[in-house]
Amino acid sequence: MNNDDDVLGIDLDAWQAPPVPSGIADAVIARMRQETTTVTTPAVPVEPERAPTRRWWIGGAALVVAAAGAALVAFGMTRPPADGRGNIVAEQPAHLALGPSAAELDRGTAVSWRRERYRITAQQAGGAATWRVDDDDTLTIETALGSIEATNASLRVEVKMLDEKKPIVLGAVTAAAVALVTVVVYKGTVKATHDGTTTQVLPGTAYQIKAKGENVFEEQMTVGAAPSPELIARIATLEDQLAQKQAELDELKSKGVDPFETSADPVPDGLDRAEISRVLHGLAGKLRACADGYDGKVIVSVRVNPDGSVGDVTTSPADAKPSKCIADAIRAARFAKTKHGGKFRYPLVFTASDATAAESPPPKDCDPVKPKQEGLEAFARHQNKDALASFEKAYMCKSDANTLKLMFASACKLKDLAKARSYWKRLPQSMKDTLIQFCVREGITSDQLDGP
Amino acid sequence: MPAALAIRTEPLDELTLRRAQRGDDRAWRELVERYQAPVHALVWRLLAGRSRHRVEDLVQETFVRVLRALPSWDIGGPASLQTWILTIATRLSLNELRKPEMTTIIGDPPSTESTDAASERARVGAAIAAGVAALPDAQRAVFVLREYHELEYADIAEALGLDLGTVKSRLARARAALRARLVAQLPELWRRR
Repeated sequence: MNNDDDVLGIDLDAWQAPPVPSGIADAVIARMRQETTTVTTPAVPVEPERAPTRRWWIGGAALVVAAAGAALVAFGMTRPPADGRGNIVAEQPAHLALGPSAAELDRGTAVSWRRERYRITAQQAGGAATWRVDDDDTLTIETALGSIEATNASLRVEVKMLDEKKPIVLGAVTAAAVALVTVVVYKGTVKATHDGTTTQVLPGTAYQIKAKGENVFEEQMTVGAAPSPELIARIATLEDQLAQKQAELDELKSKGVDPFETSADPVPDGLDRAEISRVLHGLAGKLRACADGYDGKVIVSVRVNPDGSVGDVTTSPADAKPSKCIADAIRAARFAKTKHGGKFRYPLVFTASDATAAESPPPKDCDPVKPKQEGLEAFARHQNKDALASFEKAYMCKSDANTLKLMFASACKLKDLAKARSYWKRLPQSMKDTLIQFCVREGITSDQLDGP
Repeated sequence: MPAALAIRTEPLDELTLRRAQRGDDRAWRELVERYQAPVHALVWRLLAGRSRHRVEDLVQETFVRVLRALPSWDIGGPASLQTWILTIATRLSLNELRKPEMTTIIGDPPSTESTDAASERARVGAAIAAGVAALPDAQRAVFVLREYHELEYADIAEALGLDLGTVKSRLARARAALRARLVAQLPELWRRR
């Protein structure tokens, strides 16, 4: 610690870095040797950071450069990066420079690529890579299970093999050898295409393509990035809209109308997210009754037959109090007919408040929609006190995880440890990894949240 | 100060350095092993509370860039090798912090010592970690380079591409913010003073 003017008056050495992991020198030397033999990444000189400055003449120079650039673009004089192609099986983590775009390859990742002007086509046979795609470039990543297209984006693609011990060989991987492709999008908009279906994958979400025949269920899930208030608000609105549509569907069904049963509609190949969501939402009342005060998560794995009947249900943990009741409820459910049926896993999160809510339902005129909307508006304006009050009001009418996470985020932003802790304990574990950052940014640690 | 002494590394001898410049594997290894502790500590602290899973990657990346650029590095120049390497590590870490990528919060490992003193030290360490993590990236870089790596103001200014006055003001703001936070979190520590 430097003590030249010890203004802190505290032993800063109490914050010790952990020991250095072993093998760094080996890895560095291997990368250097790999670069000089197989990888064609050019040496990148370290450029000085562009320090922010208030001097007008630098701004002026930048404007001149920008204007010159714009003029070049206008006259079609921009030069695309050089065309080229190559391939690599990364024996160590490796950096792959593709002009203004790049990829960070994990150890064992096999990639071949081709650049033609601004279009990069890559084949990721196996392994995991983080891709950064420049805004001028369009990257298409072909995998054995589907393709991913991105521009001006940052994303991670993981290709998981059925037999992970088998070395990956470029050009020899077939769909039969691949178990799962996961796409995690950090920035930009990315499209995933498989079996003729294209899905837009938004930032902060992940998308999975599983091997056909084994499982066709796909879902978007929250990943570890801290979502912005705007994104949280947008997701909350969409979830509300989904819930509203679900209620309309339920009402139609209660009148004997099944909007899914139309002879004109072809039978889909397999289960989709909407169908799974429809059936499980329809079971929500029964499942909540199964909880009977249980506080925790039960993951159900369900196999659905082509005729829509449930073939098999397993629960994890199998010995949780409500597991048998849940399995029975799902076994009795009926899904839409499909050509191949399918399998899916679904986490059911029960909190003590579920039981309480079931025992003492809110008043009939209680409206969760308006206060929640007001809360979202306040949250987006960073008026966190008003937001929290509105979310709490909405939660009293309808105790759902979506509102709970908004309450938690607002409490964190208000630095209200007591409330944040209370909501934290009720949040599903799957949300905690993402949401904790709202509190950490305000100086509240996970230890404090987990504390009594 | 034990940590500071551990981080200050004996400079690499000129012969080894020249061999490393020519691409000698053994010299490369010696260089990496000589400076990996301060680089690892620096990156780990700069990413405090964020992207911890990337620390090892960034340490590797630092040395890859050092070895790539080493042939053109001026042995007789004014900058010390350690300062130059720390500069590269700092810039890579700051670039990493600017990325809109997944961040992972991983708590510091709890102390296995059971004495009161050890426990208090662990608590102080955790409070410092949280305080440094909460500093803006630009202030944190200045603070860590100065307090934990004893870089001169001029070296920090050069490493971060700032002028001297900015370095001093950022350091003062970082210290003030950290002090305020520690006083709030560990009031008993100040009462005992």
